[in-house]
Amino acid sequence: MSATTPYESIRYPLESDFADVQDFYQLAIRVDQRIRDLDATFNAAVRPLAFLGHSSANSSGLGTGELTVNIDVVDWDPSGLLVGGDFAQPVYDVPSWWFIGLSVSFVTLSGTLTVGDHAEARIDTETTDPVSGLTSTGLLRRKTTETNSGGERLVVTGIVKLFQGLATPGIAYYGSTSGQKAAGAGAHFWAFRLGAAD
Amino acid sequence: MTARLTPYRGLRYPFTSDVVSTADVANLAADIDMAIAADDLLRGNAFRLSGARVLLSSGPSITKNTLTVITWNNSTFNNGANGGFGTSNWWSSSTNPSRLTAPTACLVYATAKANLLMTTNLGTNGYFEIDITKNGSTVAPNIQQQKFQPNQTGSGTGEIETSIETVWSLAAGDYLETRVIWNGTPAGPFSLEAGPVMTVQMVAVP
Repeated sequence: MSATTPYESIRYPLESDFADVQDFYQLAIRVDQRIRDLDATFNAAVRPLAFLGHSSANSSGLGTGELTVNIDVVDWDPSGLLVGGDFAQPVYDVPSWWFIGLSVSFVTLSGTLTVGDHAEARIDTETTDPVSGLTSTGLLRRKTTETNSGGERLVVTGIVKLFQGLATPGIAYYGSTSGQKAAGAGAHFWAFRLGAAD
Repeated sequence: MTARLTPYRGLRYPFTSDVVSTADVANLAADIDMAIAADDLLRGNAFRLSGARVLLSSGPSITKNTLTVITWNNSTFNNGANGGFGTSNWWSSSTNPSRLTAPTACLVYATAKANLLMTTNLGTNGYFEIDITKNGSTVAPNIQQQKFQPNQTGSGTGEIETSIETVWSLAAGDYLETRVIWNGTPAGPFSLEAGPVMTVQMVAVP
């Protein structure tokens, strides 16, 4: 004859019972399992899904238009979130809010730039509706104008809700096509998970 | 009496062939106690990812076209030694006060803000830039930059407010600094408005 605790249903003998080694086993195993679960929670709390990477070389050049920044160096990515330079949300992640950012410097590969041209850092995102399965796209961007003073420098950040999401860092440059512009080496792309969205 | 051990924390419990003794109770209780103590430490650390917020109460003069590091003289938050990881604070008022130094390996979110006070407009190509740098380097990939050009051609003066948000992977002892630079038509120098600020917050540990 035994009873169980009200919260965790751990078996224990009644005072009228003989002590049974099975009771010790049940108690030890249940406590061990609960402590394992709690430790996992606390360890995960200081290790949220996160990554940081950067580019080791200038991107290809463009006169006017858009191009992807090649993030080829991993600074922090224990969960393997950077896939080919893009952020690929893990399939096991529920719909979640992510804080995402890109810092990039523009360099001139050739020609003379035109003051006032449009220079932009951008992060293209894609997410899936967990109910309908339909995908939708989004765009984070920050724009400045060309100063022809040694390269524009931009940081773009945002909080986005993603499910089975993707994010791609890039730049855009619109205006005169006389000069070749590129994203300079050392562009940083990062994100970390803030929490479940629903 | 020979004890068996649970698989995770090694809590001792008796074999089924044993006769239960008070020593079994004592061992199990002691092991649970130690396991909970270790668990409490993890729990405490989980809520103590450290950070710092430092500022400069004055507004230093910034020479034209000169990348200038900001030296902080005050902090409103400086939690490293009291954090869950590491044994030293992020900022010291006496040793390298321009630096925020990682007390342990970590991923951090770092920001900075500064306002440039202009007495003359900067001109068409003028700009004001704020950077965060790692370990004193001013070249990629140890610098992240935010540049703003107001394209001023009129008679306007006033201030340019610029801020930057960055993420860094740091080893214990790595440090971050804030630097500013401006350029334009005027000879300068111009001052920063009193109260530039830098913050750092751990996001994750290895």
